[in-house]
Amino acid sequence: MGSGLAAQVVAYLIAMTVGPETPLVAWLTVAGIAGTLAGTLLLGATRHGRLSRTAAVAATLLLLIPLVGFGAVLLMGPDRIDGLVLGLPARAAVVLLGVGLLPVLIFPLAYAIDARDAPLDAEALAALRAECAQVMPRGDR
Amino acid sequence: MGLGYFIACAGIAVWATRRTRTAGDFFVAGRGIGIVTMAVASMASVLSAIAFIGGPGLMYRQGLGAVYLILSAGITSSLTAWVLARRLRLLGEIRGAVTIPEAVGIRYRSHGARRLAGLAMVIATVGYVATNFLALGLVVDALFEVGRPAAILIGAAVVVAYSVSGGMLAGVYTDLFQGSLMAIASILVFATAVSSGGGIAVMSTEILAADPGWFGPWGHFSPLAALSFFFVLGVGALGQPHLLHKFYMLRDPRQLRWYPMLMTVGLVVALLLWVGVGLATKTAVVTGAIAPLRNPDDATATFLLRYAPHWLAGLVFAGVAAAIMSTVNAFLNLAAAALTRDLPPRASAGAGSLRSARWATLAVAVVALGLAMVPGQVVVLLGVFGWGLFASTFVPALAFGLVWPGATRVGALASMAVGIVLTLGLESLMWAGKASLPAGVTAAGIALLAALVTFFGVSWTTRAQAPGDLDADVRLIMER
Repeated sequence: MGSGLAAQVVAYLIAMTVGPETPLVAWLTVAGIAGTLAGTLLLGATRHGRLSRTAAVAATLLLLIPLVGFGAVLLMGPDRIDGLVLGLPARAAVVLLGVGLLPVLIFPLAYAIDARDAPLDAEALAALRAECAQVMPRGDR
Repeated sequence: MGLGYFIACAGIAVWATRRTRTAGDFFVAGRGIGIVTMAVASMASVLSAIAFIGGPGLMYRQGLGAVYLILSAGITSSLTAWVLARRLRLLGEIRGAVTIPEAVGIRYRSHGARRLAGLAMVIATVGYVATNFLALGLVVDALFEVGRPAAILIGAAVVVAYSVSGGMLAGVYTDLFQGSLMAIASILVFATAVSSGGGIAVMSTEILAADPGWFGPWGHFSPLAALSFFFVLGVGALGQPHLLHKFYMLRDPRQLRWYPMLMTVGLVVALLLWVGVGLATKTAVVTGAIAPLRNPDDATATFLLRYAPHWLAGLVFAGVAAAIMSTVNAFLNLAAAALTRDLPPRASAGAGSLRSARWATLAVAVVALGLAMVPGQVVVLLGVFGWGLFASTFVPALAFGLVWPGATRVGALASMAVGIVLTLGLESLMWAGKASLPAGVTAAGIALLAALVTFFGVSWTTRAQAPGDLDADVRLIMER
């Protein structure tokens, strides 16, 4: 998370001082995206100081998908008309299908599995209410 | 079809108004909506005219780069759910929170933080609503040919009527209708678009031969510009109150687990039109089927008139009106909630009656309508504040504040102040031509990053205060 934010800050600083076309800027922004999003998921999915296996896998994938997808696009050569992938130019296919659509299949399902393992049912809510009532400031009870 | 659409909205509004009896009904739909309604309403409120008009136009002009504005849609709903859905829902359950600034105030035990968040909410929402009134005027004028000022008044009158009378209860159910309409229109237009170009492979081949940069990985944007959109929109989505607010409204919190799936699929479906029309219009231009567009925002209308049956064009125009109206309704409600519950000096969870909520909604609408009717470009400036202001205000203080016990009240206040000042200052300077940023570096991006750095930096330097700024029960909620 911290390293992701730092990478994004440095990318903007280089863009504003040296120039936005500097190749390092794009790589730093890719690192910034991957680090910040994955770090945010880690923070958000941690409950009672623990991270479920599903959330850990999701965070790893959230780190890897932009890193690998955008990284590949930065490294790939120009598109060729005879090299279409599922009807799209190869780099566009990586962006649209890899970075855009692949997460649609992964993260909502991962969240549903993670939330199933820690349900917000009536019993859990009643237990939380009881716990909170014991420690809640007097004016808010 | 346009008339039928407006009549249907009015019918839903009348039904919802009869069921709106308390401020809780007005602001959080009585905490009684189902997950499908919530997800479709969220999808409808997050998509405004840009999804149907501006987005396809941007795609026609900039190519694949325009997709970076929506590319993070596969991630943001799940991320928002992991970070905020349960925690906000539980703040509603345990502390009775109804507004987003209220959650900020509860988190830091601070009326000051709540009021500052409320101030940002009002500034951003008034601008958003004013620009959407303008856009609604364009659509109503296209449908009924009554002239721009009258069209703005007619469109505003419809949405204000159901927002004032039925509040969020009317809002979510009209959103359900409107969101379904948008999704159906989007699927049909996408199929028409792909068919008109002879299939995606044919369209790719034609465009690659004529304009290879269009189909490059960043389109006609620089890599930094495209990637910055992904970063700012991906992270900034955690601070958009018209989405977050709906977590308070769900009847059964167990259903939250399905929210990312429903919301993500809904978003992807509704955004098919963005990609399809952009792709098909570009193909039609490079093959000489239509002349190059003078104004890229004409892409949707040009495509529909040329390739779609009249009924589908009518459905899309109704879909555009739906997208705008659902956004306006959500923002009017948020602003009214901030005015009646968060900004008053003695704000508390029980403040704000149904009567005051209705008057506040009307007041915000009248101010926004006044701004929309003012000649000139001021309203456009107000419109661009909105998204960035929400992101820089709420992502650090609310989203990260609710997952990091080390956050402090001073850190939250400082980050919100930095976000507000930088967003308003930079956008105003750029609008006036007094400042410029390198291609790809946006004011919203700078403000968001600066607010995040301020939040973590100031919280760390004042970390001794962190335990005192967090009530024990809120900490228990944060650990869920």
